[in-house]
Amino acid sequence: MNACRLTAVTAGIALMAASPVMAQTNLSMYVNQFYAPETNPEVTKVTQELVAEYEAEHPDVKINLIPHIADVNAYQAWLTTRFTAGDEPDITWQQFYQRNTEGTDNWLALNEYLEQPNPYIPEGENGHDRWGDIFFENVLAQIRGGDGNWYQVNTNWVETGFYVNEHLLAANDVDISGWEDWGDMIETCKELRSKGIQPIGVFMTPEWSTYQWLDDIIITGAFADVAQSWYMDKYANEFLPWRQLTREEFAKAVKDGKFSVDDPRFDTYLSLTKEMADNCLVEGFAGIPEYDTLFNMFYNEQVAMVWLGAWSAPSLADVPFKVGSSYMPPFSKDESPYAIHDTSYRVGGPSSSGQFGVTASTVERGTAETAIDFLRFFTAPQNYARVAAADAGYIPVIEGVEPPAVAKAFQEIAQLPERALTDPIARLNQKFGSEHNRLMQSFMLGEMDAEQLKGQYRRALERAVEDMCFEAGDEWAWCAE
Amino acid sequence: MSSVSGSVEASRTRTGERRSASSYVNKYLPWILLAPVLVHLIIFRYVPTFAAFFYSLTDWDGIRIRRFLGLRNFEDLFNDYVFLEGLKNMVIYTSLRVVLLITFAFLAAEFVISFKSATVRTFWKIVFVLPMVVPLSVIYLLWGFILAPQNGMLNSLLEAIGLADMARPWLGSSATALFSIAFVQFPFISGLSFIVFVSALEGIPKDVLDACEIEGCGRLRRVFEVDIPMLRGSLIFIAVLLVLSGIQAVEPQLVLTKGGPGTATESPGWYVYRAAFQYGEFGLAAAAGVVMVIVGLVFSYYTVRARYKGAYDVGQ
Repeated sequence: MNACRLTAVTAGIALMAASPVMAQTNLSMYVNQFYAPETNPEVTKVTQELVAEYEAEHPDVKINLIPHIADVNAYQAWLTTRFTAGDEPDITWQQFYQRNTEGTDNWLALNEYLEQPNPYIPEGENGHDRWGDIFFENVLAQIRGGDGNWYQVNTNWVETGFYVNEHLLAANDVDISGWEDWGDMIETCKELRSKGIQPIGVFMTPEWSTYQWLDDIIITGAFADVAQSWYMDKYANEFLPWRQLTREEFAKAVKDGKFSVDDPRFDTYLSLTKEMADNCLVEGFAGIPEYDTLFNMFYNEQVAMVWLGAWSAPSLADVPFKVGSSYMPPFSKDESPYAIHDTSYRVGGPSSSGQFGVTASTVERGTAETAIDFLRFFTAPQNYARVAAADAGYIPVIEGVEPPAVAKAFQEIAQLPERALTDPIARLNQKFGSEHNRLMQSFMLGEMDAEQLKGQYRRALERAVEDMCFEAGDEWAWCAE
Repeated sequence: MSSVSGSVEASRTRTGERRSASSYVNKYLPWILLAPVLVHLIIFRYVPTFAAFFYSLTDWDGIRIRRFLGLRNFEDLFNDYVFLEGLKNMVIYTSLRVVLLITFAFLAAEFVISFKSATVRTFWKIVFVLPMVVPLSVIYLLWGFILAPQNGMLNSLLEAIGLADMARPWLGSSATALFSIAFVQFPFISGLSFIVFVSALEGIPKDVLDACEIEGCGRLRRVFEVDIPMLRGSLIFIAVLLVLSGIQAVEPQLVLTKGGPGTATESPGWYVYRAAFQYGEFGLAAAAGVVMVIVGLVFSYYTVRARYKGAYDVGQ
């Protein structure tokens, strides 16, 4: 019996040794919501098809897709533990700004790969000779790390803007195509209101709300001429002469008295905000509790325009009226003497569903080249177009990939300069964000005047910076100055 | 002889053992039956409550205690206008709810017992109690539609009856938001209060009612001179429950207003929720919770004391 077993084993080994060697490369990939079988079946199907096609072309490669983790905080915790255990995926999604802020060695720099050809793009087409050519320049500039390297390729963009009920506007002889500045928009709002039409749907609560996008733009317009002087060297990015301030930079500006309620710019910020609230925002904006209610108001034709995210576009495909899109116009010097741009500011960006990096451990594992090769395959316009079509709420930022029809106008918005300050809820700490929103709510409703607001706002700023300095400890040396 | 006496002795011993086992079971059975509830109470109610007293003195982020703060959290609380506004709102909201819920539930109970037929009474009891199966969160969501600024049911109704001038963004103005959330569940008859009042009214001794009738009581006089005095215990019991639920209220803020506009609908319960789960300031949240516990205890003590002071309960 033992002799039989020995013979069989020996024969097996001999057979294996005799057969041609085909080393299999296993790739693990977390592609965010592009592989979410339960919640996003359409785009999941496309991703699975692409993976199957790639595996068919490369029989030696086996790709393991990791399902989407819906809660982004849970995902970050998961990724951190994977990195700690050395078991991170070969390709994985990450917020570009988070990677750049953390500045860890966990990621593979993609510079040299972006310079190389992409064999999956047909010869003669953009990107065939140089892979990097298919990515939008402004996106590449924004996601570039402080050390000048690219650690990710970003395939899409999330944006916000006005969805417009064109039937309603046309029926009331209102034309918004000629908006040149903030004043034009206010005049349109007044006209709509005089006809009994609610102009713009925005909701506002002390927590997160779409009002914050409005606030980002107004405060950027009011402090545009000084925002760059608040930049700190440690966050300098030569490729982004105008960029969003980090929490530390803004906290330092507050501590140094550069951002102050006593600054005349703050008065401009307040007056623009009040003008918008009084003339444009839907009545009861402070009593609408959440995003979906706002969406329904537009759907039910209760507002002429609504400020929503690009991801809402697919849900508006079946509305019984024509939906257009627009955006907040820029500030003229009359409206904000401190404006320095002749455009408005975008509140969206490449912090979207398609941000993929290759982890540094792939070099040791020997999977780096395969991972890069798959990313080339995945981002080739003819392939990514299929993903983009299934994931219609986002704007593709790959040359040659057409955005969904309703989201097309968002492409123009995506070219605008970035807001200098992010949402109030993330501007300093969350407690400050709630306090900001609460105070602004009272101010916009006319229940608190500017002087009352300033008194309380000043204390909120001071308290937030004090708390943040305590949290940061020695890392923020300027706190002790 | 000795063997007989030994057998009797053994029998007595066995009987004694059975009695002692029986009395042992009788003595401890209530504790055995109560044990699961007591364990649950201790682990999930008393321990967290007393732990909150300790954590309220610390800078606790939910994972680790970063430093011991003494009474600083309480100082911060009482220097925070948001918390103080929340306390003020809590008093207004709770007072309104107590008055409205007790009044309407009592009226509904009087309505039900006014029927002589048990079948009719049962029918109305079912009608009034059935909506209790709807979860509270769903009720708040529905009231969100009722109070919505554009085409909300309340505004539409006002317009339909020619009172369009009264239509307003009920939750979108500080002047009306707090009163609006206090009116959620109108007409307030579906709930524990109604069940308690109906049971209590049905339990009023017949001789008392007969005596009242002989005295020439009309319906209204009976309500004020018999029903309300006889229901004093039930009324205070319900009042205590409603006050405690008013102190702890967080659902209206969570679903409808997020505490706004401004601080119009802030409440201590919402403050605790936000401090803990949004700001990670669990120590501060514990301090606010301690204040809520103290307010609740003080109120309960005085109302319960008043309840036993010369009270006559139905069934006594």
